Amino acid sequence: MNQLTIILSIPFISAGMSYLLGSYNEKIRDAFNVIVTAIVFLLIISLYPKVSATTMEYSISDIMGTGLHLKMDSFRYALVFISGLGWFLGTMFSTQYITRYKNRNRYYLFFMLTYGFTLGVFMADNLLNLFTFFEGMSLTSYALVIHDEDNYSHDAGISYLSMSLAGGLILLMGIFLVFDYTKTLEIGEIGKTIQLLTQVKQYIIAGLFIIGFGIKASMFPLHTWLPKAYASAPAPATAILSAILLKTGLFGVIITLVEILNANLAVSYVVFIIGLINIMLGGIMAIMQRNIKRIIAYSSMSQTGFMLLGIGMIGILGDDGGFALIATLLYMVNHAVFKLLLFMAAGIIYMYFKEMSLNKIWGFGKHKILLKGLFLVGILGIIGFPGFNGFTSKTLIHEAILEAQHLTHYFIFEIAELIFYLGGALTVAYMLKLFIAVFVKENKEFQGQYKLKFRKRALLPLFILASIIIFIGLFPVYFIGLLSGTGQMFNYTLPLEWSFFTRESLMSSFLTMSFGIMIYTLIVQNHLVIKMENQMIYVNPSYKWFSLEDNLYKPIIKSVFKTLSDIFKYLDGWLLSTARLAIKAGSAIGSFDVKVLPKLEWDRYTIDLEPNKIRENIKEKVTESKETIQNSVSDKFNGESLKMKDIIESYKIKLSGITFSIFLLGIVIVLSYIFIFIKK
Amino acid sequence: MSQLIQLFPLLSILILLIFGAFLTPLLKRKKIILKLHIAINSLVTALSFITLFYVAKFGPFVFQIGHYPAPFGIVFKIGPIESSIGLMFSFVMTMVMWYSIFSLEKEIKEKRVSFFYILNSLLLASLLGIVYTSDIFNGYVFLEVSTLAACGIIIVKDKKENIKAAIKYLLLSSLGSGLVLMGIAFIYSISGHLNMTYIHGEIIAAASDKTNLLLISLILFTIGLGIKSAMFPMHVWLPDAHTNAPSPSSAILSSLVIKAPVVFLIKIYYLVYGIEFISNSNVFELLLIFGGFGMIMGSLFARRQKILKRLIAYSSVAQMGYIFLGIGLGNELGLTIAIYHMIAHGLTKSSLFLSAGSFIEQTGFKNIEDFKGIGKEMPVTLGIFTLSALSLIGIPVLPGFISKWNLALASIESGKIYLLAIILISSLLNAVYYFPIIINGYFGEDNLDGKVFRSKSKPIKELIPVIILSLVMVAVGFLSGSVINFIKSGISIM
Repeated sequence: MNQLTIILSIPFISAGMSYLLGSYNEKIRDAFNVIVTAIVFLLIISLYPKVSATTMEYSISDIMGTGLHLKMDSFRYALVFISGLGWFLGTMFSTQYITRYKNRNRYYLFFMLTYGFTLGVFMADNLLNLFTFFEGMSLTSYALVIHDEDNYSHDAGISYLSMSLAGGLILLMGIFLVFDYTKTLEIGEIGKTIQLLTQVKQYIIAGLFIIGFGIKASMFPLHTWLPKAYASAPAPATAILSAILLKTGLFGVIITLVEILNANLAVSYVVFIIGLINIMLGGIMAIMQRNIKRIIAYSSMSQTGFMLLGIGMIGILGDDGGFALIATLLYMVNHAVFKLLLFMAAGIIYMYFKEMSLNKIWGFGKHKILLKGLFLVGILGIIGFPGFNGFTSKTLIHEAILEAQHLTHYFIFEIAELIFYLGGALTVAYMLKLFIAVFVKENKEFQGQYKLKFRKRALLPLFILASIIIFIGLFPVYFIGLLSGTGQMFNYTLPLEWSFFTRESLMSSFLTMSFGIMIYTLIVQNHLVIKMENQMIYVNPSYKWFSLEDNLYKPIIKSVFKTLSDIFKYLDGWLLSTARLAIKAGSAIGSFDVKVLPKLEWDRYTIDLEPNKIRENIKEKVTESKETIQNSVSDKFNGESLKMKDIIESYKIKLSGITFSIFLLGIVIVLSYIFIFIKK
Repeated sequence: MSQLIQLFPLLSILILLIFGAFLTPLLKRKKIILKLHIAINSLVTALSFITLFYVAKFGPFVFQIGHYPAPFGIVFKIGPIESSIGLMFSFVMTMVMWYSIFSLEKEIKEKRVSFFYILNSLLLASLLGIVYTSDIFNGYVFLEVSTLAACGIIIVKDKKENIKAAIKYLLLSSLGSGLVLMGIAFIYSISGHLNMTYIHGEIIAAASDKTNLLLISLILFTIGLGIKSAMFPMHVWLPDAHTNAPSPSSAILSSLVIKAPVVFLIKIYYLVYGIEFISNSNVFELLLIFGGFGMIMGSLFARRQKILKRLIAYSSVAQMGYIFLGIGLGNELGLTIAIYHMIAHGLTKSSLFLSAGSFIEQTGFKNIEDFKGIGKEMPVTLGIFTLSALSLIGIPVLPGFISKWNLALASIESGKIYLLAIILISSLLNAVYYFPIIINGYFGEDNLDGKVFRSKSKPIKELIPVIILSLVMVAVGFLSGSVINFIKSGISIM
């Protein structure tokens, strides 16, 4: 057993064990799960020295179709590391959060299974393995999305599952094409041979792969499942969905672009532009929302835009792409950390009220100092406040945009910079909306201490995350050092020095902040709030907007389905009527009347040897039998008659007799000889 | 140590003959007989298992019986194919024995029980002999022993139709043996040897001027062994025999007895005549015709049956068609899959017959119509039945699918695309006659009306052997890659 396979198999084994333990004792199961995830996390940490020295590879042949090929380099390691962290803290948080839900055992089972599949996605070095794990992850996480099993979550679940499966099939199509053209499924090998293909084929493959992975990464216009699914899953599951599962999609896009397509320029631009759309759309939608989870969910979409921007820049920057790659990777890690924190904090609010709408819970956190502080750290992280982790990655992405502009002088990068600022400002605005509504406003309803509905130790994971945010924020250079192996892996040269707290970066950060505060005061406070009976009500105008899912996808799918079903119904009817005709014909033949003539009775006469008498006898007999024949013919309708079916049946019985079998055998032998000698 | 392991194939046959067949009549108490036979069979399975491992590690070996070297003495050649088929035979036999402990007395008279076990030991010994031997006449002797023993386990039920079926089987089968004997006589007159390797040497030398004689003997072997292994138009004895025999016997007949002649036939093709001579003649095309017709017609016949066991019996005819088709393709993959399918079908059919036997035993019905709603009364047993049926229909991962898939690949490889249609139609027909049983068993309000949940289910203790069988079946499907590679390694040395 290799270390990688051990890490990969522990979640699967413990999923089953936790289910068994859980039906016996829930406390033991909770402790067991926390310990298992801790062990996996420690194992992942202990891999670091090896991974930073060399790339680990391991393969087992003869399983999972093409054999299982695992690979661990510093790029994959960063993602595996955040998965380990996310699941460890998520499990810890779940033990506090899930206590009053139904089907707890099922939750843990699928939580751990999703863990295993996600690790598999990040470790797989073979497209088929990757696909298998990817699909497994979609299916098991579906069980997490519909955990509440009310109408809303089932609706979300349908969206999530159908889009995931569609994505999976599209990806599979891409994999088929790749295998057909390059004859290999090893991710590292494909890049070497794919350049020999024509441009069109490369673009088709790229399109299929990026759509397949992009659905998981909530790429525009395939993001429609995201707000629903995130809002309906339990908080720890949402945290994992946003922090880690979203990254599997981005991971896929990165390996498609960098490893498979050798950083193709056109595809890079497409990803880049989709990133810009994602930033704007996600930000605008987030600012409209009233449900805390939906705000953070759309924020995930907007943040994905920043990461796609970075991914696109890997190709655009060419030889300096390593810089963008490191920036993106850092962004992915950072986003995982603060999204875990924010969703868990939202979960704690949910534990009080079972309610997420700002209109109900405004002013709740005014006196919850601890929660307020933790939430604030998360917000400062996400908006990129200097000294918190979001700042570091945003600075790098910004520098990358500036460099691209410097390199190409294209106008698009000026727009990109503008959108970068605008997106940052929108982030500031919706987070400010959330924070002010929940933690700053004074609400008389919530005055005085609310009785705690959770143990204080539920906050422990949040503390850990907050300290990570601050640590990365304060010592980014050290952290970049840990990631820099990735750049060398793809043969990129990296800058020798990383500077974060420069004058420009601080300036741009404060510019974004002030811009964001401006948006908040001008738009949120004026247009998204109605005053009713001295109370502020938040409204969401985006409900009436054009919905991609309801107004575009569903009608298209329905009409396609309708047409196809009509066509097939017609074909089906035609086939059925033909078959019915054949059956009718058969039964008509079967019930065909067959006249059976009565057997002529030739009695044995004693025959005299005299010729005359013989002649007479014969004459007599002939007339006798003539009469019988005539009688039987004239009594045509009274005579014995058999159905054709019965005749066939009677022959069948004869056929299976011993004598006939031997006869048949003889025929077979003769025919065989004829066959073999004639064709010789 | 390796000397000792090389002794194992012969040892297992001797143990079966001495302790299983000749010692048992001396014992009086039934319990001791049962224990003895379970012990013997498990021992044989263990020996086969060790042999398999030995072969996998150190490669094939030749064992001279009584230390007489090849042309004079009898020689066992144990390679991957022989050892894996031997393991399948002894394993399935052990499981069927285990199952029969609980159910045999409900089907046959008490005084016949020990008779049944004696015959089974004799049968397994002769089947293993057919598989292992490298001597053509020795193979014929074992073939005769197996025929008689198989007749015995049909007739053990003492009913009128059993005797009828057994006589039919005996007549046709001895006709087949006669043909084989005739073939051996021809071969012997040409070559003057009985050992397969030596005959092959002589045949190569004589191939050019005695072609007709060789072809005649080839057809004699093909048809003679074809009768014994229920090749399509010669299958007429099979449905009667398999339907009327007690269920454990049906399982053995269908999964072991009709497989051994095929192994013998493959050996004759490849070891005696050699691939060059065979591929110059048209015998493979003949096998393709028989196999293809068997696949379709067997399924069509099965679809019309009203008695459950008869349906399963006809399905065996169709499945044997797959095996002959695989051999008839004449390429390496086809032959590999034919052997893989023997193993797969052996495991699947035995669990299918045993679970059908439990239905019949618990309800007393025989017809398919009466088994509606059986899924509520015997959910576990029908579950096993379903799993096996799904394998035959060809649901991925299960071994039946693996063989169909690879058979399709093999037929593409050999350039006979039209065979794909036959494979597809045949598996469609499989679905047509297996699914109604399953669906009517589990679903349908009318069917489930008045049935009490698990009212007739067997104690789980009695189902363990069938469950083990179906688990091993799933494992064979799951590990198909390594199994197929192992068999392939055996074919390349053949």
